[in-house]
Amino acid sequence: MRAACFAILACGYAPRCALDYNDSGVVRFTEIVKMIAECDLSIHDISRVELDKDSHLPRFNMPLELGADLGLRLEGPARQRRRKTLILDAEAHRYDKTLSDISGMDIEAHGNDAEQIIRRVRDWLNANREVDSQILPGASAICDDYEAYLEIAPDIVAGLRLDPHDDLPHGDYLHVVQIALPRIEAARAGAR
Amino acid sequence: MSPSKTKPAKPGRSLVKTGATYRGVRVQVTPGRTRFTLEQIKKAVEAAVVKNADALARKA
Repeated sequence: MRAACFAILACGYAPRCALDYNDSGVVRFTEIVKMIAECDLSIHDISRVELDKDSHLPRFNMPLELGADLGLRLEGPARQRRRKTLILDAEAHRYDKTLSDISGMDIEAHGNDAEQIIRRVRDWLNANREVDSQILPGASAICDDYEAYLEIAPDIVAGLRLDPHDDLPHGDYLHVVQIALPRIEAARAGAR
Repeated sequence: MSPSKTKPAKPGRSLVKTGATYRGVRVQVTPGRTRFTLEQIKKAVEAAVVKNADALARKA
């Protein structure tokens, strides 16, 4: 999730996800569908199929959200039918067993590897960028900068008086990356 | 992992922009809930970049 958001930000897009919401006064799924409909591009990672260690049950939120997205694309208004969707899974063709109704669709495998996630996301965004817009930063450069980010992340987290990187709330993480990206690029360029 | 929905940068949208660019791309986020202020985050990031300047330079 964090590697994907890093790549999305590095490509100049603003990531939005269910973690954006914490209003108990609204039905979460309603907000998620509204958010999907507001965006022209969507990325779904259906790789987390393992059982919850406490409940010993799988979580179905991601397939549900993917279903809402595909439903909009198939039967929604004209704008929604033009939407683009990237589906990610850890292993190629595993979805034939876990979500066989989408068999035949192109699904990208990332092997739970951050570099592969960044490459898949960047390449897909680049392929779907607006006509006449510039080519997005290369996947290798973004991967290198992600590594550099991970190197400085403990100090950022310590500066915010948090413990591990995972304690950084999602909204704050997005702002941290937004602010860090140009500075990482500048620090590396200055050394050349 | 929850899905990330993305939308291309468009003028006039209420996006938070740094004013700076990264590899020719304007980096932006949609305003959302945060625990820390932008000023706190900026300060923490800048301090970390300065502290790790040598390491970042070695990666260049």
